[in-house]
Order: sequence, then C-alpha cells, then structure tokens
Amino acid sequence: MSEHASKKQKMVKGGRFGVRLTCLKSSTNLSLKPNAFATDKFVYAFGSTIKKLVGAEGGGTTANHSSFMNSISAWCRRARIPHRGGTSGTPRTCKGKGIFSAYTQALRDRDLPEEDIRVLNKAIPDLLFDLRSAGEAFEDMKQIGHSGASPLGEVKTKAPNTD
Amino acid sequence: MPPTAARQAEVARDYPKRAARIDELNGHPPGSDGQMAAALKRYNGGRVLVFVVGAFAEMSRT
Repeated sequence: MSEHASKKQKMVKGGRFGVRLTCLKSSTNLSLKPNAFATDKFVYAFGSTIKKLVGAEGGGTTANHSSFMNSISAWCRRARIPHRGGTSGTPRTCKGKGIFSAYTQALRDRDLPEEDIRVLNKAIPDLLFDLRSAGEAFEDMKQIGHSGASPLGEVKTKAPNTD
Repeated sequence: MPPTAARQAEVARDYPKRAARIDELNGHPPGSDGQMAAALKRYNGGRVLVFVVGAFAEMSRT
C-alpha cells in the first residue's frame, strides 16, 4: 500500500470525517484512470477544484463518503440498531440479494445507455436500517415517525460550488 | 434553504423517479407502480433517509 493510501486510511479509521486537502498534493497533475462519467482527466491543484476528483477511484470524495457512512454505521452498532451497509453493518453492503437486485439484475445484462446504467447503480442504497425494535428504546424515533420501520439510508457529500 | 437541505430534498425526490425508470426498463407501463416502485414503498413507505454532509462539515437534518 502506498504511503498516500495508508495515510488516507488512517484518517478514516481515526473517526474523523474527510481527508485533508494536503493529502491530494501527491496526486496533483497525475492523470486519472478513465471513467465514463468524468469530464476532466487531471487532478488539479487542491483547493476549490476538489470536484475535479469526481472520476478518481478511491479519491477524495469517495473517502469522505465512506468515512461518513462508516461513522453512521458505527453509531448504529453502538446503539444496537441492526443495519446493512457500512463497516459495522451486517452485511457490509446493500449490494446483492435482498433489496432491489431482483428488479435490476436482469437489466445489467442488457446493452443499456450510460444514463440508464447510472440509474441502476444509483438504485443501490448505502444503508438499510432495521428500526422495528427501536420504537420503545428511542424516543426520537417515535417523534420523527420511523419507529417500527425499515428505512433505506443514502449518504451524500456535497462539494463546494456544486448544485 | 441551506444547500445541504436542498440536496437532501433533491435526492429524496430522485429515488421514486429512479424506481419508475427501472420499472419502465423492465417493461412496466408508466403511470402506475411497478415491482421496483412497490419494493421501494416496502421500506418506510418509500421515504429514504438522506444524510448530506457538506464541504464545511455542515449536515442536513432528518
């Protein structure tokens, strides 16, 4: 594992959200792996152009997203809320059998346009909470109307200067 | 509206649209709930909890 990658992983494990922008310094001006959805093929100098990292696999935005999702998962585990997705979830992902794969799997074998493939990928939620037994233990759950439900959870990061 | 709240609302709106599109791809006629939309509604009536975190550590509210 490269020094850059291990540094990034340490920060995520440390429970802090996100990655320091200086972590990107070693990646500045390197070319990215081709990605159909990425418009830019270079990592620009860090700063407000962080959104250029959209096509970087395991890049800054993905690390932010994962660390945030894993923190939610860790807190759920602490509160003994069963859930799927995140490092403390069982299983750790919402991909695969059980949620929407019955309706999306057959479509993956078809030759669909890029935007429809994107729809399929975005249909996979990040988290699935099982709050069926959380009604009595958590007063807040009752108040916000999630008591006894199994809501899906989606984690989004928002870069500056984006819609 | 704070940017994170706007993003949260947008993502929550997009979920049923995506389900409808998947139903359409599966051959379900538009205008009624297909299998995917029905499956989505099984999870908390289709209301997805969206957590948005911004670049300045601001968060959306549930």
